[in-house]
Amino acid sequence: MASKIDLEINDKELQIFLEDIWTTYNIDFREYGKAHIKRRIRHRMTVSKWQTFTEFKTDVLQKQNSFIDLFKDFSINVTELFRDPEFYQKLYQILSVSQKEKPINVWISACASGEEAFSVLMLLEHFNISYYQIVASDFNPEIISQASRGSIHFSKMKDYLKNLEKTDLGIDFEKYFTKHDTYYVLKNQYLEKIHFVTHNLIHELESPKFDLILCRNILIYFEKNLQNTAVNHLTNSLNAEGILCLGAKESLRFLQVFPKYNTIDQTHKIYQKK
Amino acid sequence: MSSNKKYHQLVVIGASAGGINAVKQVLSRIPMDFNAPIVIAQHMNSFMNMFFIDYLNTYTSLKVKEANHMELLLPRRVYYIPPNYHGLVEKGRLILNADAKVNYSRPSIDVLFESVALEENENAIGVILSGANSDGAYGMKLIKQYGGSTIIQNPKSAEFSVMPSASVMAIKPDHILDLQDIGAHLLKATSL
Repeated sequence: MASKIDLEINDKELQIFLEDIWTTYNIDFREYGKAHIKRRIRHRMTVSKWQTFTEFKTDVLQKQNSFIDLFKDFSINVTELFRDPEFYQKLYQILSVSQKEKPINVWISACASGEEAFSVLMLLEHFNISYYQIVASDFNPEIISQASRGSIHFSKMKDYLKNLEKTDLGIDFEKYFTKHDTYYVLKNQYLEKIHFVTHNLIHELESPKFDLILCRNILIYFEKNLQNTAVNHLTNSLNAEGILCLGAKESLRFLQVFPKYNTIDQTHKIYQKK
Repeated sequence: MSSNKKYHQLVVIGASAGGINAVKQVLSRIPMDFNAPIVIAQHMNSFMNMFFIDYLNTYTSLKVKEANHMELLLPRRVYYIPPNYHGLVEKGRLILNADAKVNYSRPSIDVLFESVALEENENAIGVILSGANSDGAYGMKLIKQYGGSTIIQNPKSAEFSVMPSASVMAIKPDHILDLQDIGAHLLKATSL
């Protein structure tokens, strides 16, 4: 019975655990928001039926497989095609004032299973942008390998097509995807325009600079220092006049880089580098 | 994150179908000197949310608003978790989270209540109102297990009884109350 499990997680003990994960597995969750971390640990404890955090912690530090399970829980894998349709409407408007002949370099950081990269690709194609390329990155190698297949399970399509319809942009989904069994797969001529890489926002991305960067719904998982680190890296990777897009409930306002940007759209958190 | 907590007790309310009227009835009976913040996880269409908040503000002397990420929770305020996010509580602040839906819902009542049960212990007050699914039952169990108090709208008089019934079956709640009595009870429970 679930009520036998003690889900209490002591803050000091948690901090030491995250330090131990860092030294044991060389993966740094020390500056992730503790409320999120606790939620995921509690989930893992309930699923694996550990009675106390102390027992659970010992297991994770001793068995790599237990750590891998926890690592999967810690990585943020939730995404949608055209998540927040109004955001994509707005982004389309912003792109429409740029020159179609000018190449556009796009970075989708923390892309999870790739839906955001597919969405931006369809947006750029729909707008007849001639030259573009998209880098899609995530720190979880397993999810990057899934994303690189360009596939969407059909069970998700109902919600996704609803989002697409709400953008009101007239994008034809079937122009870009073909159905294979239970999946829709991005056609090869499009998939090859996306470069999938494993990358952690703790580090700079070594790459030419970008004109458009999306980093949506990831900063809410970070504590302030890590938010600054990640956004500093994004800013260094962005061309002057390049566009940075955050999640609807995220903001640059209290971060170090804020003076380097103009706010283009406060509601949809679209910023332009000065 | 340093603690800067501005309250002693924290009220969390979960509602779903029939929740609009139920929340209105509860909040309209709470006076403005109420001593605790209220956080609400309610299943709702995203376009409904802002409209509903304006609507509620005309019925209560408390200040109702949509919660921001990292918002410091204050007494006499009512915070709605924005649609498509879960809400967690940490050191007196509301934390937004974009994880997968739980019980087909985001915000999920269970996610909020679990966090509050463990964070606030005996200072958590969980309230379940009208709804047509069983989200919240697990969360209420945890609030009770960690020493908080539990109030459930009387399923017999609820517009949709599935959600309050599920919670009643999961725990032995401290109180089963009709809608019009919940506000007064919350006032009494937080006036120390």
